[in-house]
Amino acid sequence: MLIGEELTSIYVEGNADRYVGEARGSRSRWVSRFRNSESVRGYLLLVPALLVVGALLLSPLAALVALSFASQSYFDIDYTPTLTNYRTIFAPAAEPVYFLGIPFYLESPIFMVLLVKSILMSLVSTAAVILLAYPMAYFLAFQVKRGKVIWIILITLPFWTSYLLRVFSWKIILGFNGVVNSGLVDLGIIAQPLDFLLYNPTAVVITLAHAWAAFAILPIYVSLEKIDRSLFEASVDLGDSWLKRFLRVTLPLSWPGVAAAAMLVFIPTVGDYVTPTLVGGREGIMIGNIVQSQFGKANNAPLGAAVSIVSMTVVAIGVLFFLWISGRRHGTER
Amino acid sequence: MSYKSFMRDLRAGTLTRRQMMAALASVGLVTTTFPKPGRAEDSCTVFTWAGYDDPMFFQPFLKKHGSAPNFAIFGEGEEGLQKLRAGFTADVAHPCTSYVGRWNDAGVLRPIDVSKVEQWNDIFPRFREIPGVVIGSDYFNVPFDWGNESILYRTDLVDAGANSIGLLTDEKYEGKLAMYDSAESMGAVSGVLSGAKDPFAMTDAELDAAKPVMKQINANMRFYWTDATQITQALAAGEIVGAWAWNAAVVDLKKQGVPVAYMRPKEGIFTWVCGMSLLENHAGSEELAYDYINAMLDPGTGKTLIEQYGYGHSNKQSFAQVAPERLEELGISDPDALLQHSRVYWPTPPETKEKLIKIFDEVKAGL
Repeated sequence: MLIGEELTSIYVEGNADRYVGEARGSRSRWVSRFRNSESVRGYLLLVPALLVVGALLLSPLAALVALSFASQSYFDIDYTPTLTNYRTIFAPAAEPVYFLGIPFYLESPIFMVLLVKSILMSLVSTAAVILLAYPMAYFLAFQVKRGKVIWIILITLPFWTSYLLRVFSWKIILGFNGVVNSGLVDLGIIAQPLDFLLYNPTAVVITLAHAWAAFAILPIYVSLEKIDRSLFEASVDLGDSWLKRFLRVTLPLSWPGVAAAAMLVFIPTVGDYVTPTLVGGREGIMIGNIVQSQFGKANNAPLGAAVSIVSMTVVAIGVLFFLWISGRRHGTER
Repeated sequence: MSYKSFMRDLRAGTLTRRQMMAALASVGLVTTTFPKPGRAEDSCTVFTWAGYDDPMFFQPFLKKHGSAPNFAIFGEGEEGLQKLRAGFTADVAHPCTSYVGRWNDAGVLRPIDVSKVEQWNDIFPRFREIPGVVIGSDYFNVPFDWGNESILYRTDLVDAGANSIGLLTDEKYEGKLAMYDSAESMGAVSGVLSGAKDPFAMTDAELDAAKPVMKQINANMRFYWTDATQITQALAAGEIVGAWAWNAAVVDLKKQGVPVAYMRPKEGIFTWVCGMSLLENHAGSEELAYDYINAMLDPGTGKTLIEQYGYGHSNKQSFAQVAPERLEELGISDPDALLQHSRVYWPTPPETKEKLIKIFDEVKAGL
């Protein structure tokens, strides 16, 4: 009876002195050491979280890795390990295919080309998000004196609706008969609706920049809020101009927030496929679309898995490099 | 613990907490794991194209059962297949005949007992022989609707004098056209334009020849559509001037008073035939599934389909109920001849299909 035993031992713990005095069996000593160890307690507290991470993150990832070494012919998946999929992605060709002036010496360059394109689009989006979010976070941290909670709620308000709806609303804003076009036409600024607003990479970048803004504002706000205000006074007292103060005090001290925001935005946007599907048109497609296609219409899940693994690896390497660079620059902070 | 002792302890208030928990747990276990017989018998889920969930298409079913079946929507044959392969459960699906063989190879379909299909003998004989409707000696699809795929264009904005589907490659309309997001359609169009012998079963050499045409078409596209309302809206607004479309879109736009025409191209018009299939992985009642199929084949439903969407029905009797002038106007007065002389979507061999999808993905990525 497990529960009974537990009850007893809790009772015993309550009367620890008496217990230790009465019986010094090796088992009980082991139990009390086990119970008093902080690290054991820590791990026990972590168990639910570890189980969730294991079940929902590690096992699907392991399955994806396993699937990427399988092969599919028509509707049958053969689980004999093979490198076919990776060979398809990296098979070299003598003649290069050029994308943005970069030569790709690959037999089927579509995967690497789209990966490079996605990373570029994501970098631009991330930069746009940070540039938009920083002033907002700055305002929130230093200018707002009362009712900060209301401001934070207002900032996160658009994020109470689903991601899909937010992306779709950009379609309405940028569309041919959308808010921007009909507004400009009504004002007499343009005669014909502009058709370069929607269905291109720019539309994807604009949409991503808005859709992920809250994920950047909040970490930057937190890091700005933490800065000791007396440091600002000190820098001004020592003769720094506003701009110098920002560059030498505010920005370096808020850098952890900026780096966290960049991670939070860059990593998920590289693999996004909903946004390019809805607002990207034929020019805005990204690596996520090709992965979706492999798992769907193209009927080749193992290749889709391999493309995902390659894409995740490249993004992980990029992110680690970024962290290493920021760590070197700001390593003295702690 | 027996029922008697449990009740006695319960009344006396001497039931322990653990006994109480055990009793509650067993109730919970039984209610969650016990099969639910009543539920499955009265439900029927239909996996179909957008626009067929309108009650006007299954009046006899409504009359008999008082409520509509459940609907789930797909936008393209491959997409529907992959959703079913991923474990989606429904009772009846609505694939087009050119896809039925592929769906059956994937093991998502089961044969249909045509003796339970009341109107089976009224279906045009030619439809009953299409590959996909019949595979080997079994029937896997009951033909229901058929229609065309061609260029739908704004008569005020497009010069369609050449009367050719080559319009899709005309640089004059760059960024002003839309294509159906389907490798099958894209392949068929570019196959015909590049002179393939059979656009539904191209050889490797023919696929290579078709790719440049696909690139030309791709360069002119504003977007690829998956839902017919995307093109009707864009055409009405003038965002695009032409699109590869189904004929229901024509009827819809003409109703709105938009100046459009549907091309009957010199290369021959494309025709598709779609129908009802029973799904292998089903949860609802088989009786309801057949009732739904019968309701779809009803001449009254056929009349609605012809008049509202401009599609043809598979039931001969439906055509008798529609005014001949209307049939003439829609261009479907002689279904048999139309089927014989147009380019009917034929099943594409699996290897060709896979290569086609790969090429289409590359073209869409700009490669």
